[in-house]
Amino acid sequence: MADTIKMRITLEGDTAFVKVLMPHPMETGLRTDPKTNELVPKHFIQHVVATHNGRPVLDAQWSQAVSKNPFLEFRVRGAKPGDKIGVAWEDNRGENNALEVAIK
Amino acid sequence: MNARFALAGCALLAFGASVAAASPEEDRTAFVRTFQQRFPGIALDDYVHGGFMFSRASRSHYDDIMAFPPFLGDIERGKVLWDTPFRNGRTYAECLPDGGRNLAGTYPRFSAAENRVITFEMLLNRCRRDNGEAEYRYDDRATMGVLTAYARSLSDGMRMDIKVDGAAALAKYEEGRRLFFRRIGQMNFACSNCHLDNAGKVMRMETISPAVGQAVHFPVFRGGDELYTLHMRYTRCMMQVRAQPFPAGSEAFNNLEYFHSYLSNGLPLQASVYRR
Amino acid sequence: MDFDVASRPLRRRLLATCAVALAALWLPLRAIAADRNTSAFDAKAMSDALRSIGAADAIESDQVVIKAPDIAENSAIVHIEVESKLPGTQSIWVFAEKNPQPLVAQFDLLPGIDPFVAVRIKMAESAFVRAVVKADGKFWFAQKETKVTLGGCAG
Repeated sequence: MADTIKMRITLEGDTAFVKVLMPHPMETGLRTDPKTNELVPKHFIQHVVATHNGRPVLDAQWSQAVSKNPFLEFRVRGAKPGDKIGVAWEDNRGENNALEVAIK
Repeated sequence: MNARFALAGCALLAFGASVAAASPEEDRTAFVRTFQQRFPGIALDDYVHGGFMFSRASRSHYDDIMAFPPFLGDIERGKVLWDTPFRNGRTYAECLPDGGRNLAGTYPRFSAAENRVITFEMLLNRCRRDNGEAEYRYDDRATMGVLTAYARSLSDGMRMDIKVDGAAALAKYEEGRRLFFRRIGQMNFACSNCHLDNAGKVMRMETISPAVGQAVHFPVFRGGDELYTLHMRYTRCMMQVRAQPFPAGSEAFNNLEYFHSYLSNGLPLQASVYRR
Repeated sequence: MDFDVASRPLRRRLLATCAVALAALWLPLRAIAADRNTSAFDAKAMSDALRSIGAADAIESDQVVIKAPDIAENSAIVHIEVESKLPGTQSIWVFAEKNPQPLVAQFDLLPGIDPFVAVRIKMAESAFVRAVVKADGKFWFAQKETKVTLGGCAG
């Protein structure tokens, strides 16, 4: 969980292809901890926002059924080198994380 | 098709009959020939993809996941271990030729001085030992697991080049070979029953991977995040056939890995990959 | 040091670095957060979930393109891509029809983004993966059957 968000951006023409990994356990609440034999509480990213130069371009709501260490890909139009792509998430416990990357 | 299986059957008989006689290179070419007759049209280099080599759809899904795989954090943790100097200030890179680049594909190696097989993971542990650090357990994902996942990535794509030179080395190779063909456990399965005789067939909704191409792509991240070194995978295989497994890092597994890796000579090393 | 083996095919095209973690980035974003449609996310039946987003009468369209595997190699990581070719696409939803709660994700598209998303999801069992698109106020969908298997081996 100490891992930070990872983002890769490739620019083709004026479209930025953005791939994101968000380290997070994404617990469904249905899994039993083999050590304690008790259900692991639901713990998942439920809200993700992507930005282009600070302006939101994508607003996503997720359930616990998004895979562990969630992957997200989106494509931003009108992008150019130096522009900044940001991703921020918040989970159902109110924890959050964010990353902003400049397109090279 | 029948003729093809008949040919494969002949090759299998040849294996059975030649436990002690075949040279490693004869073994390897016989395995490769058997598989290539059974699976015409699949390039040998694609064998590194294991069960995914049989299905374009599965391979495509694999490629989608590998385009940005969920286990990058584990590789990064391995890099941190690799880069962090020992208490004496030295590093793994200083222990190894060319900083450890293009090296993993030449392991396991036979050490004549010690009369034993040395795996790449043993090499990493020896570097630790020689620098006054405690050795890592071979089945510890958080240490040796991520360390070797990163260290092997420095050899990503290199062609496997395992050498078996001399009678003493051949003896270890033969020990590994015997384990590969030995039926074990309550299920009475040998490695060869699945990964030679039945490779390409479906068992429990899994397409069984051929023995050629297996030893080049570990550690794998099963389900995208659960790290298995080759020895951890051997352990799991043995559990699945209900045998008492050898421990990761045991001499039996080292010898098995020696034989098993030789079968993949010439194939490009992959580090690290997703498996289901 | 270029260790990022998994990205090998992308390495040469990799353009972005200079990553700076900006925990504070989140705060201004919260202001624009859409309200979560909890009744849709909590719905246990596909029909209820569709009704909750207003898509009960969605029409199947070849202008919605969904990519999902025929057989999921692992039910915990099923790579899904959805692209809408419909003008005025506003939102994309992804459902796994037989999950305990079928709605997996809702993506509200804002100006400046292509009508495309890729995401990896967990599937409880073999099912249709359905993509619903809202475009110019109307609902459309596409679906793809994905079989999931409970495996024992992998090498």
